[in-house]
Amino acid sequence: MDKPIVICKDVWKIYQQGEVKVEALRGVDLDIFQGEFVSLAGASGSGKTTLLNMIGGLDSVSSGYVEVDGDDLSGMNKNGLADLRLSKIGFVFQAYNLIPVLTAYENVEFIMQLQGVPAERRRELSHEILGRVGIADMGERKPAELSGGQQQRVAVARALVSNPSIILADEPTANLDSKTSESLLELMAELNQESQTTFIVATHDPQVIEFTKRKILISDGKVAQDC
Amino acid sequence: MIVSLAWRNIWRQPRRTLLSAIAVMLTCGLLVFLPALQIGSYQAMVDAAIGIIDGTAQIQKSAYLDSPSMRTSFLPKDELYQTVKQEIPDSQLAKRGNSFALVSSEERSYGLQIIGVEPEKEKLISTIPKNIKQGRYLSAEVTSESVNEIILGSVLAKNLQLKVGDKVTLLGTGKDGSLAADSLQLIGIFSSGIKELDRQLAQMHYERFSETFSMENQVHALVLINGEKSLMRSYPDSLKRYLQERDLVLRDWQALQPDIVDAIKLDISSALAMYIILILVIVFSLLNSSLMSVLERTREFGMMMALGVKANLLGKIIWVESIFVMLLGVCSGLIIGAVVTYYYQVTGITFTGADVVFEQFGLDPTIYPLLNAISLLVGPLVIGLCLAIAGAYPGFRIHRLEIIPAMRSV
Repeated sequence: MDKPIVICKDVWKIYQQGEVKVEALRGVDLDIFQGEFVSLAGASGSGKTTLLNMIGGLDSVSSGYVEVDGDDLSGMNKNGLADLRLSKIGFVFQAYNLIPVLTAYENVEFIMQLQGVPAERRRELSHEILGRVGIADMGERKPAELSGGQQQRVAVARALVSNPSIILADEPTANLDSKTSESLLELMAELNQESQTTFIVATHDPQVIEFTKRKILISDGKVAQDC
Repeated sequence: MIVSLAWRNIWRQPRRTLLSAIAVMLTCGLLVFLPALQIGSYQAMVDAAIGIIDGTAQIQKSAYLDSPSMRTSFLPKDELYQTVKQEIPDSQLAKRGNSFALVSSEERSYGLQIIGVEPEKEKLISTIPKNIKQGRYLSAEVTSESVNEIILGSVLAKNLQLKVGDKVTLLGTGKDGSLAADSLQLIGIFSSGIKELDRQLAQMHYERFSETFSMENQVHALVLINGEKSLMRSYPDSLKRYLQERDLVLRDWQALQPDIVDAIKLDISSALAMYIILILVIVFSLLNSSLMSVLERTREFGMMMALGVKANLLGKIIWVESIFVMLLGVCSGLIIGAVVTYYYQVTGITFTGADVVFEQFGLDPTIYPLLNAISLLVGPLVIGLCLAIAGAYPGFRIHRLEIIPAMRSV
């Protein structure tokens, strides 16, 4: 854990809503290291999702500096950020966000296809990863034919399959019951242990917060507590 | 991946896709059928116009078209016949002498256009020999008995109160300015289908015409018979040069019938305006459908961009979706249009109740659409191209998409 994989220095994000300026992030300083399992906790509107979006290159900072795996995000254009997300970042969203016309296998393969992984290798890896997340027998099903928990497992598999440096998860358990949530968290923890992939989870779910090794509390757009 | 994803995407809303494809199919089918009907009707118009008298092409003195006087004639030498035969194999030339004269029966007199013809060759050019309503056409052999034969249009014969077998008197001016007078026997009455012609047209043997009108074996025109029905035929430049050197010119049907050419051009212009409107309607309706489908998937596109899909790739996927709908519509429209057009090409379409209008132009009320490469492919290709271009627009709009607002959209 010598060099941080995510560096945030004095990150500000100010939204203009009509004539009102909303300060979503107010000078966040944060270092996250390779292999950490981190939760960004906080109440609704605290800025945790905004911070996650900044780290994922989904939104630009108003001021400050964000570095992910050695790349300064502020100097990148849309295509550069897309390449960064494709190669170094995996996403798990609250609403699963799988592509509805593709099967579970194809959803997992989709990212690899964009990365130019050969078809045979893609098939092999997608089978392997769906096996690891425990739904190998549901690979041919489309998202609509899977339960919420199963869809989220596919989303985790999709995030993990291209071997990214970090996985960003935004409220991954929000739509799941506590049992399914626990099982998903165990899976994420296991994958974190196995592959040393950094997990950053934005959540307000105490079960998730309790589960993570490092807990960062965001309040009013600032890091209020880091333990 | 693009192709597979786009194909699956268009079937998310099968009803919308099918309706869009059917709209394109109907437009395409119409754009195959209507031009074929147009071409068929032009062909019928031209056939009717040139089939009665003019033929597909004529060799004339260069000044004859603008100044068709008796004196603007030429001697058809053997060398000319040989050259034409050499340049256009299997062709023949039929002599024509044209004049205006006064024709009289015992009771009445009328002005007429008299044409001296070679009857056997005339059968290959004109529909008049087939449209003899009373009596017969001019004899193939010119003998001392048959040489004084004449046939008249039905309205003219009726006005002159003549019947087959009666004597008629011609009075006109010869090529040399002398008085041209002859007494001929009416052996046939024709009905060309155009009343105006039937009121003023008559044919006689060229030999007798030449003698009566002091033509000294000269002709006003040689009608080219080449056994080809194609109206778009082009003639060898070497032949054109040969004729030009002798102050002659080969005039095709377009030069002989400029009014028909103008009428066709006018019809094409108005039809083009209608086709353009039809294409615009289908392009905008498909564009609207495509934009709606993009709007509905804003959240999904935002998610895909978050995963690292570039806007260019999303644009391509959306464009390929439009191409699929277009191909479904264009291909089925092409097939349906071709089948329907071919059916009517064989059976014809009869415009019941329009007989009088058609008759004025010498047309049969049954029109046969003509299916050819132009009528079959131009409409669908233009639609395909327009839809392919318009289909790229929704893809361009993706570039404006911001990931976070897109992912928040419902």
